[in-house]
Parts: sequence; structure tokens; C-alpha cells
Amino acid sequence: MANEMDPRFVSRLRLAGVLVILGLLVQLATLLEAHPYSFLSFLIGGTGLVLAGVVTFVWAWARQ
Amino acid sequence: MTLTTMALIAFALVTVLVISMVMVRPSLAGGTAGKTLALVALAVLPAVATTFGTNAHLEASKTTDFCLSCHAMKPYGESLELDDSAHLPAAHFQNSRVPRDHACFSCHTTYTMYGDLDAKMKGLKHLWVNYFGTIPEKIELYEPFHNRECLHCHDGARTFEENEFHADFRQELATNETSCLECHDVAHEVEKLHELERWSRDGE
Repeated sequence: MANEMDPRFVSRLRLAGVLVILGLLVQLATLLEAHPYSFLSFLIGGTGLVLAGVVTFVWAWARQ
Repeated sequence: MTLTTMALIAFALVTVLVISMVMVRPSLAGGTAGKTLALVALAVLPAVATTFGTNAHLEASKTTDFCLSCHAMKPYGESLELDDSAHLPAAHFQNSRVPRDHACFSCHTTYTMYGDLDAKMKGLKHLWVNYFGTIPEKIELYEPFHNRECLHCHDGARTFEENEFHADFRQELATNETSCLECHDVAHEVEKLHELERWSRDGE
């Protein structure tokens, strides 16, 4: 099944997944404490990774 | 941890689970339904989680502990403990005239349509200055304190309405022509902190 798909799309899909999951995990970690560092980590680290993942997915989808 | 935060964590974990499924079995992303699933998993759900997460952080940034976690704000936090009923912030804090866990935000937000948003944008600037810029020697308000922020709570309150001095200035106070601080003029006098007695709820 999986090998019927474009392998480049699959690898980009996985890359997007890894980025989004990492971003969400960073976001989750920052929710454990209300502190300016947490807020900045959420904004720069977590949201940055999620955004990179979403862009990678949309790019992979558009190029398919 | 609030119930909202726990719900948000559960939502994010479900999102991670769905993304993991798509990653382990990319064939799930084949076909129209599969692409929709991938779109939901890799774009819609993370966007929703990020939106709720941002909201949770913005709510947390309204707390007194959050404001006082910056070193520059410590003296202002200490001024809430002064044993002086004429000292406005201390009197408000110690008598629960403001929610104690949202003490700073209650007075230092702007009670207008976009007041909270404006306060948050300024807060972001403060974070930037705190970590990457130069903290000014003396921290000052952007503009003179507006009566609107006082009247948001005091307007209509019996102690305010029945005060004969207030009655004489009712219109001027409402239009901000006369500042509340002209009479109630002892705010955060951080430079005098070491000279004044402290009050503690525990009597320590």
C-alpha cells in the first residue's frame, strides 16, 4: 500500500509529522508552568516547529 | 493545572496520536478521504491546538506570579506588602479589592474594546526588553493612569458614590479631567520600600 505512493511524498509527510509532533510536545511542556520563559518557548520553539511542519505538509501536498 | 489546560494537553496528545498513525501508515493519506485525514491531522488539529495553547498562555500571563517572575518587577510586587493603607496598590491587594492572583493585570490593563490585546502586545514588548534589551532605570507608565481603570470597579460602588469629595468632582472624574491620583497619590513608591513596614497575612 505505502509503496504505491510517491516515496518523496511519504518522506515529506513523515518529516512534516515529526516537526508537528516535536512542536506539539514543546508546546505541551511549556503549559506546565506559567513563566515568561515558557511563553517564549511556546511562541518561538513550539509554534515555530508546528508552523514548519504544516508548511512542509502543504508543500509536499502541492508538489505531489 | 486548570481543567482547560488538562483538556488542551489531552487534545494535543490525541493530535500526536493521529499524526503518528499517518506517519506509520502513509497509505492512510492516499485517496481523497486519506488526504483529508492528513490535512486534518497535520494542519487543522495542530492549528487548533496552537490557538488554544496561545490562549492558555495569554490567560496565564495575566497572573500576579507571571508579572513578578521578571526581576525588574520584584520591587513592585514587594510594594503590595507595605503596611500603609494610603498606599494604593497595597491597600487594593491586601483588602482583596483586586483579585490577588490577577493583581497587576486588574489595574494595568485598559478597559476598552481592545484593551486586553493592547496590554498583551505591550507585554510581549516587555518580555523582549527583559531578555534581549536594556531595562530602563526607572519603569514608567506609557501614559498617565486613566480614571477609566479605577472607575471600572469603583463606579457605582457605595463607598465611592457616598463619598462627599467624589460627589463634588463626579463629572471631572468621569471625563478624566481630574485624575483620581491627584488625591490618591501614593502608588508604587519602590524607592522607599526599605523605609516602610511590611504587612503579612500570616502576621509574620
